[in-house]
Amino acid sequence: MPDVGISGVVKRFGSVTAVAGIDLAVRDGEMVTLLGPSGCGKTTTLRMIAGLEEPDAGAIRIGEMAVYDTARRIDVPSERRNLGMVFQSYAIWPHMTVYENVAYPLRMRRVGRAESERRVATVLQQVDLDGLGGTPATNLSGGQQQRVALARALVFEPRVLLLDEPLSNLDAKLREHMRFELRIMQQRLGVTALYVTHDQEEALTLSDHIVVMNQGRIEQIGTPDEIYEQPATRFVAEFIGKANFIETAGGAQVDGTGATVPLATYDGTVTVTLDAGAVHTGRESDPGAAAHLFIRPEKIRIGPGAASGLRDDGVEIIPGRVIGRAYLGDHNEYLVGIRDGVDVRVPTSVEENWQPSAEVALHVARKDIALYQ
Amino acid sequence: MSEVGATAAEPPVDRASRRLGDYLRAHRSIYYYALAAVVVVLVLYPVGVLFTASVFSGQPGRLGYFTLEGYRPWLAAYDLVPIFINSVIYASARLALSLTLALLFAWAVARTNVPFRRTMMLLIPVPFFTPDLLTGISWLMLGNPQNGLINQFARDWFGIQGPVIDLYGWTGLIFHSTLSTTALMFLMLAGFFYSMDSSFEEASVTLGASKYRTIFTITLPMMSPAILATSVLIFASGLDSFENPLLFGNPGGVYVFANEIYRMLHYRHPPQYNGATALSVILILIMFSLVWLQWKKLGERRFTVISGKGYRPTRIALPGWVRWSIFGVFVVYFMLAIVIPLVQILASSFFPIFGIYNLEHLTLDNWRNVFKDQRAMNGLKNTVLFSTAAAAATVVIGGLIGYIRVRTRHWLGRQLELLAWLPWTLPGIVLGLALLWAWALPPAPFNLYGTATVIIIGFIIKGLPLGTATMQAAVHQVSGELEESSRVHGGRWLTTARLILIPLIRRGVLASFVIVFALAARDLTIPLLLYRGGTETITVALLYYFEEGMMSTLSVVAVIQLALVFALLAIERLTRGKEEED
Repeated sequence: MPDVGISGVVKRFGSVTAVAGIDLAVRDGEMVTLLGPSGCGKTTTLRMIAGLEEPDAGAIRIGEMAVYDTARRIDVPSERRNLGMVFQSYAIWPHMTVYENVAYPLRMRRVGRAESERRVATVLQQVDLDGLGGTPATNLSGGQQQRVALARALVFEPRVLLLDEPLSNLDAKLREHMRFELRIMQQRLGVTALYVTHDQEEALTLSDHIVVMNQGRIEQIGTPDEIYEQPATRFVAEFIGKANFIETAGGAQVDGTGATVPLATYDGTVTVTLDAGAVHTGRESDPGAAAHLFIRPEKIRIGPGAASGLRDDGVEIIPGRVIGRAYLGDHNEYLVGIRDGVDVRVPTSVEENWQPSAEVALHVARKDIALYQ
Repeated sequence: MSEVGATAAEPPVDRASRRLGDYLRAHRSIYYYALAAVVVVLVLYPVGVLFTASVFSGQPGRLGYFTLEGYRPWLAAYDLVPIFINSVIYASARLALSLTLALLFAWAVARTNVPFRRTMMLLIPVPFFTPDLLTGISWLMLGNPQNGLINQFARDWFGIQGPVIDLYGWTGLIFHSTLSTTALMFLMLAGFFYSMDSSFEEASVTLGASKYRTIFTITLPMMSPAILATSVLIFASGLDSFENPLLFGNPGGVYVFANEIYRMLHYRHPPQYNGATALSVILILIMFSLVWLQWKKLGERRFTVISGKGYRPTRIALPGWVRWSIFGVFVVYFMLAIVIPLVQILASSFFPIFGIYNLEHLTLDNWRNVFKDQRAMNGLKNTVLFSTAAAAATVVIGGLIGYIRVRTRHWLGRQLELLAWLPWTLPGIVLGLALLWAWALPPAPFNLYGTATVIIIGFIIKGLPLGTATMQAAVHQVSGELEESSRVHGGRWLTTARLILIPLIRRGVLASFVIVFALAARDLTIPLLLYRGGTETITVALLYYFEEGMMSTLSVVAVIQLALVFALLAIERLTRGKEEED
């Protein structure tokens, strides 16, 4: 299975820049997710790889084959790129049977009848649709159509599998189930796959690497836990998972070794010290903008009392007052104020019980705090 | 180009065609420009020649010298004014009546529990497909003041002297043109009523308005942009109508643009090409400014073509007498538009002398004679041939225009769509005259005067607006991903069109074909101005029989032509019905 390389790819629609010059490498056999909000350019990127949109500039390579290159004036048409693709709508042809749908790529490649039947049978078995070949495609349920689309995209052993939000039209239960199935099948076949989604959970469970995109640019490329644990930009931190952002009072001291951040609380100013690795200055940062401390809600523990400061074991203690509680069945979520207008969300077990306006101490390991400017 | 890393698994393509293919693919807009060139030659070239010819002294085939003489009678006002006033009265009256009927029918069929809705839906549009020339002649046979059957009947049985019904002049003109216009308006409006979300109306009812009040406070106002746009198009096409002014206007001395232009060409010796062309240009300018004004004011809501797939809006339950009254209106409409003229013409096809229908005279001679009649047989053959050719060509051109417009972001898509709509504002008689000028002018191989080709070209132009709209709607209904999926999985453009797109839009293709075929088969003006011995169509032959008073032959030919149109409609309906069961 080949790898995919994208360099300097730009796509404009009229005056809107959908993709603003991105570089990306997908390794052989990996599943890579393009993740971002709608309009971030992820689908456009996928469609450019598929040859369904023509880039305005840049180069795209699949394995050794340059499929697009503005400089060398190469533009291999979609049908000769040898890719499998699953569309958001599944794009199952309603006037054909399941067999005809799945065999279509083989028919285009002039594969013989016997061979074609054998391969379709195999792939239908792989997607748990054996025996349904003669069914009209329109008689299938959403989940089955999704599998037919997948079978069609895999039957001819394509160089790369492209998936454009393939699960977004399924109901929640089926979506979760298919998520695992997709991942297992991709790993078993060892096919290089590019997966577009706006659903962060999908991205986290499915991917070897996640590419977070925003406004036509790549914000961060990393493994799921890198993306979650060490978001490179404020956008990534906000987009993936839940986040508490605490506006600092200004006057953060940032240098090569780290940062010292004064944090105003109800009980005076607490100074938080951070390592260099936890300090992120985003590309859009301007010096006047306020810096924010970033803490994942689940990294915070609520303790009694009003102590503050850094403990020996590397835990910062920040004083706060309980504002309110939401009961969510398997856990509680507390809203804790740090000062007027600044609060954090903290999930706790349902056993924990803090009275409204109780003075509490928020415990956060120092390594779990980051600063975004 | 890129041969790097080409693997054996790629779909096989031979090398030479690949190189040319690559070039054309990289410059795909070459196809668009080629199509645009064809459409420009079809549509814009004749109009350009017409404008030019209006300031020259010659006649088709020879421009002559520059002169503004042609405009003099018109710009001296007193000649233009009565024609203009007559045309406006005609178009307005026709619009007002047919709009009332069409709104009633469209609303009743789409939003109420009126009885026999499916039948109404099926039958109301029929008069649009039956030639006005035929039903018009049939009505004249019934209602002309001297020997119209109704008047004869009144005289013979009740001793009433003088005509009880006189369809010459304004009465016949407005009465008969309203019938087929109602059908066209219904076709244009029904889609809007079907697709309107009934929750708007329900909201009004929950807030305390009665359901009748809701019609006037919610339904009609929400429809008003669509209704207004349709009205302008119909008003403009009212200026277009030729058969009705010719049949009913001429004997009653009512002249509007269309029959005035024809009068100058046909009843004056020598023909006044100069003045007729100038008048045509004036008419085009009036139509243009009308449509332009409407677009300027309203943006471009044009057409929804009714698809077989209906929404299921909540229907208003009407009290029994209202339901049945509306149904009664429909019955009267359909009797007047189809049944009565049809029965009359069918009857007269079995009797030797028009108007004397004694059973003892019943004969098949008319029918036998028609099959020996050179003019009739040739006309039938030509009509079928020309209409088929034109419908096929229009489906292809319209399909390509629709495809470019819907599937690509190329700027030509929009321009082509507008060009395809342009002929809507070209009255048939004007189009005929323009084609006469345009294709009699060029030297030998391109001189198409009197040929089948130029008549087919005329039919294509005539069918282009509706043909393209239907095809565009059909392409629009197919999700682009279905084609993209084929492309990605190895299907080239043509393969994709053949295996995916065309099978999925086959109903739209058929509908478009039938519409253009019907428009062509019913058209009189284009072949009338363009035929030469051998290329006359059935409509030209019919007019000849009518003018010569050969009513028996005329009736037989008319029955055959109607049968042809009904057969075609039935095929289209049956295919659609079968699809819906699938």
